[in-house]
Amino acid sequence: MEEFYLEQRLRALDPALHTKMTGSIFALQKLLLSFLSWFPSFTDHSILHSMHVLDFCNRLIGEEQVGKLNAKECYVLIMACYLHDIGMGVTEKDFHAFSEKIDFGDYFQTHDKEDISETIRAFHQEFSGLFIQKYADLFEIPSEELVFAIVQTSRGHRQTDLYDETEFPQVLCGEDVIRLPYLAAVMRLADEIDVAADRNLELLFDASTLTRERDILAFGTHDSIRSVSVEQERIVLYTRPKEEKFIPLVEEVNKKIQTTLDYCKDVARKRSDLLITQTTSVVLPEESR
Amino acid sequence: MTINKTKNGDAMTVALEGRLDTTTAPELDADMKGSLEGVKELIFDFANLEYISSAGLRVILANQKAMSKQGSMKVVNVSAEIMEIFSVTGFSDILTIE
Repeated sequence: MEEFYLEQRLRALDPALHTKMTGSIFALQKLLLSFLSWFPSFTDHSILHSMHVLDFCNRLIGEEQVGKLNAKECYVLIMACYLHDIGMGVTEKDFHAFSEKIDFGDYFQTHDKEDISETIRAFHQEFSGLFIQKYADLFEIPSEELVFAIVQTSRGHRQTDLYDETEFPQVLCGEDVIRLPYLAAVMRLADEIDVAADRNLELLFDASTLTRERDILAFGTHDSIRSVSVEQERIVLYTRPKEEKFIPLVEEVNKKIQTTLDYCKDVARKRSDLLITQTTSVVLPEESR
Repeated sequence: MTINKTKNGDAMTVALEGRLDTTTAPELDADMKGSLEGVKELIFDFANLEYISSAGLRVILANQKAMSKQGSMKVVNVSAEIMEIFSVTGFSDILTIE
């Protein structure tokens, strides 16, 4: 976490908005642990994940491009980084209230309606959006336009169409324009990178307790990716697979990042005047770093 | 925000009125830092507190931490809206709320 471009620019342009953002972090530290009530093991959605996503956003945007963002855009992206997975920890009461507002499509034709945690996992971006709307005052989000922008950027991290001009418009907020398509694209790519990169597996889990083959393979794949570097033109996964069987699985992860990179880069290019400068995602051995 | 402090022996009641947010939280924080000496029972009265944000929660928790070393703290007259905030943030498990 070396750069903090977004945080520094927000503080320089609008100290009051920066103070509101830092004030929110206190509640978020506790709120983001609430995912454990539904998902006691395996994936990390704590504030560590949020901070990693924010760090990857900073690296993807870079020092030069961050100078083209206004204060509100910096604020929206930072808050969305912290809040994008907040839906993973909704209370049971909020789960039922929010469920009435979510379009589940035909999901329950093939999934058990009683499996609340699985429903939350599958639609957590929608639960996150509704949570942010309901508790916007807790975070002192100063206007409806900013609430909308944070909700949409958070929802945009998965399973949403970033080309949709209704869902992801340019938002006029006072005299500023918030370029939602760009923010959501950066957010989605940063989240994809972090899903591959870390999730704090060694910190949170004892791999020796895993018994299901699916879990062992997932752990081994993530464990093989020792670090991720975001450079100006490429994303590099530095790897050290403990077993041969993890090599194609790491390649699959890399392919998924490349697909997301291609999509997000195209969204940024076609729907904003800003760029995602990275073009490829590659796998290299850890010792080549 | 208005802060009304009443002392009764080693007990102190702090009644808050208005909004406890990033604007007012530093004021409460500074006020409380100079007030806790000799206090063994701290009561926050939220009867007239309209709203609390994350920044406000931080100050309440700071006081809880300070009081855990020298006595006890409780929060009384909490509205349903603020109770929901305590509940969703996990503060209902940390604070003594009556």
